[in-house]
Amino acid sequence: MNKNAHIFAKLIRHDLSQGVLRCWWKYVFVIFIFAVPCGVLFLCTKNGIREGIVTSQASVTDYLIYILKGIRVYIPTPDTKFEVPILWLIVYVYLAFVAGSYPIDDLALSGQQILLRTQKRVQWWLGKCLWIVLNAIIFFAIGYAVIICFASVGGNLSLKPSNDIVRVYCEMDVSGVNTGSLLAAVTVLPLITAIALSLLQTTLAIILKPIYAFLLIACVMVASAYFFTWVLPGNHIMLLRNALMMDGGIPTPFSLAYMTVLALASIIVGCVVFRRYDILNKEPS
Amino acid sequence: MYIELKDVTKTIKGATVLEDVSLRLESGKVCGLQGKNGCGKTMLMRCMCGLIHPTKGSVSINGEILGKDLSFPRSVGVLIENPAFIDAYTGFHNLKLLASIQGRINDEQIRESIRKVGLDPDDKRKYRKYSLGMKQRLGIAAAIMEEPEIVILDEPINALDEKGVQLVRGILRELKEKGALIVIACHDKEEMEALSDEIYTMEEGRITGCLTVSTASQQEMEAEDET
Repeated sequence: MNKNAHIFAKLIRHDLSQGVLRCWWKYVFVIFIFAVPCGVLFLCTKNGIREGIVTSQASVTDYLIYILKGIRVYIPTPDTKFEVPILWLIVYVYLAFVAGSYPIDDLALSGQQILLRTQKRVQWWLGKCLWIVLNAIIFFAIGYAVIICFASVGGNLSLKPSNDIVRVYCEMDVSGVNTGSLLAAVTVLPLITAIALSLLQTTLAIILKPIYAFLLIACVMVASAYFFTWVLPGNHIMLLRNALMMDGGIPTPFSLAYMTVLALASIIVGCVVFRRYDILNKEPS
Repeated sequence: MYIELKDVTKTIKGATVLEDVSLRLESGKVCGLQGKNGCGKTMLMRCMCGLIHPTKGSVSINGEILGKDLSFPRSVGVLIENPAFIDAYTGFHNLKLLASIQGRINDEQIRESIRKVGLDPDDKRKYRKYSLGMKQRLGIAAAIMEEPEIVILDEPINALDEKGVQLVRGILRELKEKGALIVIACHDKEEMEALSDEIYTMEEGRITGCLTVSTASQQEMEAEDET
């Protein structure tokens, strides 16, 4: 292994140890965040089966749709009330909290000594970017594991959405939708978007402060629910606003391309900013 | 080996913390920075190790400009402000983690550095259980363990008892003999004179004076140490 690769491997090991294992409690909450809505849907379908409204327990995809559906496009009129999509919002705001401040806080701790020994600011930044990617993967892996647990308890580990459950509990019609496209919209797209948003947040944390970056991302997510425009990233991860679900919705390939560009732009801008970033001893936030 | 600062000015949020600082520090010497709190000693040290970039001017190490040719000096040991380590690791484990990045030294050399500062490398206590003095000693051990060519120590005798201070004196003497360039900041004037070959006085971000400490007075202090 050459020296750069050796140092990079050490950085990743440090980040996994300090940014994941040491903060294990942050990931325990991910279980609750996914388990609560799963529990609600599980009980609803149980009652629904008893009452004859639905025919089976929810499948893996049903749970994913239920949690990540978001809300329909909001058109303000005197008679319509804006309702914040709490379930959807909690998932992404909590992800922002988990990704939040670690890369910058690390600099106030042993990260500063590590950075001096890596000799290269760019390498350190890229290491943190990789941590961000791993963090988002771990976050969703925990979420998916919780969903699989509920689906297996209900005895329906199928990836096929159940038309009746989705119609009754998510107020959506997925009967004509290709399962593969639907799965991509509720698995791959949220993960890629989560990575892009976390990278954007960390770059903003360098420019501003971790707390302001977190608040900004939270505001962007709320604004995404209110305003329907492809520019606001939240719109890409509300299944109800996907082209699969509504005319004029955002197509998944476009969302994937947009998020990839956003992620790469965040990495590059962060790299440029971090090369000139002043490392002062700040207390971890 | 030398560090050269040319007209270094640093402004942070509108406040000038360093103003037109020009210095040339050479290896084999202990250079002291002296001045009141907030006079810019720590900022100057951060500039020298590449942690902050000058708003104007340049810092170069052997002719290579920091932030342009290099991100950080190639061989530097730093203790600036409070030492920061991982709470859940032992002292040895913390240093091993840092040493593993460059992979220049082995476990025995790490242990030897810990012994040098008067700590026990086999101490099983976690860093969070360390006293202030122990934390400071570990910070010094981290800065010197890889025998860097440049050693930058901000208030190295903070929180140390008399025995600890003597150990630091011995360590600096040894590093100097090996040809390292040592920069220290210390608020204790007497101690500064005992430790340094040259003392730069700072006021409001400027260098206002330079004093060369006579070898005789240092030898006097060394003799005192030995007795």
